[in-house]
Amino acid sequence: MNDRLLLALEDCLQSMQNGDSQDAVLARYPGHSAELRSLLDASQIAQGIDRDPIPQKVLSTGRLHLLAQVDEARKKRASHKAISPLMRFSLVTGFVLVFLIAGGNGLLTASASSLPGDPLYGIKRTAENAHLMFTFNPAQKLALEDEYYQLRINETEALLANQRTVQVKFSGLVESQFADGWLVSGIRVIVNPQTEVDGEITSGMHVDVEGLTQANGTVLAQSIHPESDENAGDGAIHSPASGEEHATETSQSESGETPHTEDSPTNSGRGTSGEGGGGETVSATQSDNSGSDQGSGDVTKTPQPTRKFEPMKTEAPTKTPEPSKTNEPTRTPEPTK
Amino acid sequence: MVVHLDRAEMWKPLHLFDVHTDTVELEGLRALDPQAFSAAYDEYFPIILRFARYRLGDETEAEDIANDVFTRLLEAVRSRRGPDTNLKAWLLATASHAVNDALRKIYRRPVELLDSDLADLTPLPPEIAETNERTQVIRLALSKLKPDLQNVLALRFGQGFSLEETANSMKIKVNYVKQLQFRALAALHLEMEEATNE
Repeated sequence: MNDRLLLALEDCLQSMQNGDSQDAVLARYPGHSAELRSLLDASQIAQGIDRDPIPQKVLSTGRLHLLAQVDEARKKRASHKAISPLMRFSLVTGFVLVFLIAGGNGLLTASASSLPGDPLYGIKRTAENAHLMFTFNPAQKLALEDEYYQLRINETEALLANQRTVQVKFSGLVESQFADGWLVSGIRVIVNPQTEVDGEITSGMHVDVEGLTQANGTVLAQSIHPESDENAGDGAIHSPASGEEHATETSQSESGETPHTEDSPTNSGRGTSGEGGGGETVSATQSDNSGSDQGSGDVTKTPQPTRKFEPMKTEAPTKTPEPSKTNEPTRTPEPTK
Repeated sequence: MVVHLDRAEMWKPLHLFDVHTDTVELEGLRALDPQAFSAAYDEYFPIILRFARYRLGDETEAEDIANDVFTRLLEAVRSRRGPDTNLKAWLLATASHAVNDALRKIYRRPVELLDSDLADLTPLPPEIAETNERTQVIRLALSKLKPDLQNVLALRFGQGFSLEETANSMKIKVNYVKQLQFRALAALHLEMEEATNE
């Protein structure tokens, strides 16, 4: 589009508005007069399209209608503002808290009796973990862990009683061995070639079992291995570091003392197993007392006697009798020389 | 009583949009101040009504649209969606959308012919008949233009806005207004010629 033509059109329009005639303004642009004339004619038509005045009644009616709407809107806003923002925030927060507490309590209550595979079981385990996390007293924490440890076994028993097939994970004491598996804390655990068995499993050992409950009242193990600290979060009891246990066993064997033995490893709950002294289960809270026993040798220096049942030690005497030490005096007669 | 619009007044040199005044106006509207609404109504309702009437050619429908635009303004400022700076541009843009919607409905609406027995078939006086016919031709020619071309004609020649005022109201540049104006007049002239030849 020609800029000169645009300017010429605007100039003509302005001049005509100021009272100049069309011919007079067109005379300024002889080269574009024909085109400009048609445009100016069209502008005259465009100006004449709507020249009617606006009735005052329309204006006053419309204004009244609008102001009535504004008044209504003001009332609505005023009623909304009657509740201050702080009060509104407090009310909303209060409602949310009440809802969460009421709903949360209801959920926890409902989930308390849930079993693995139930929809609310996750909530139950989350609540247990949270409870453990916020329990800072070591004795209380251990007691709580014992409770959850036993609860896992009870849950598995309940699933077996109901003949449900669900993935379970629990820790327990190997009570006896069968041709196809073990009896772990009263639960018969079956193994097959697909079962991951970590190391040698012997009676009296504490093991972690992961498997599937079966309708025949057994658990088909997917994995079974000696219990580790990793499962502490699953409600299993925290056991002393394995390094410490080895240290204890090593010191015992080196000193030549008879290892600690147990007659009957039938206690299924570690919390109730009093091996090593029932009082030592809370040794963490009795560290002051342990210091007084230091004169009794390396064994007594063990800072936290294991709460874990140690059946392996019961078999140790048969493996390491070391009778030679007792026969040494017989070598002493040298007088023959 | 009617409000007479002086053509010379319409074509007076434009006053550029006063942003400060507009901001004060908008603050009053957001506060739902009745005086602010009353002032905005007095200032802009005639513009909106004339704009709608120019494009529609229907007094009643134009009044409905103009009132509806101010109801929309109230709803917008209540929900904080209203205009930020340029109230007039917001009102005109809202009116333009409403007019476009109304025109679409008119074009879709089937024409219902009344029973000829009920109609007064007496011929109109020749002058009136000629005026009516010309008005119809112009309206038809205008309705064939694109909406932005109709808008620029409505603002420049219906409202008497200057180039700058038109640019401000349409939120476009002055040079683009000049181009639109040129195209609109050329298109209107062409449509009128075609209508006359038919």
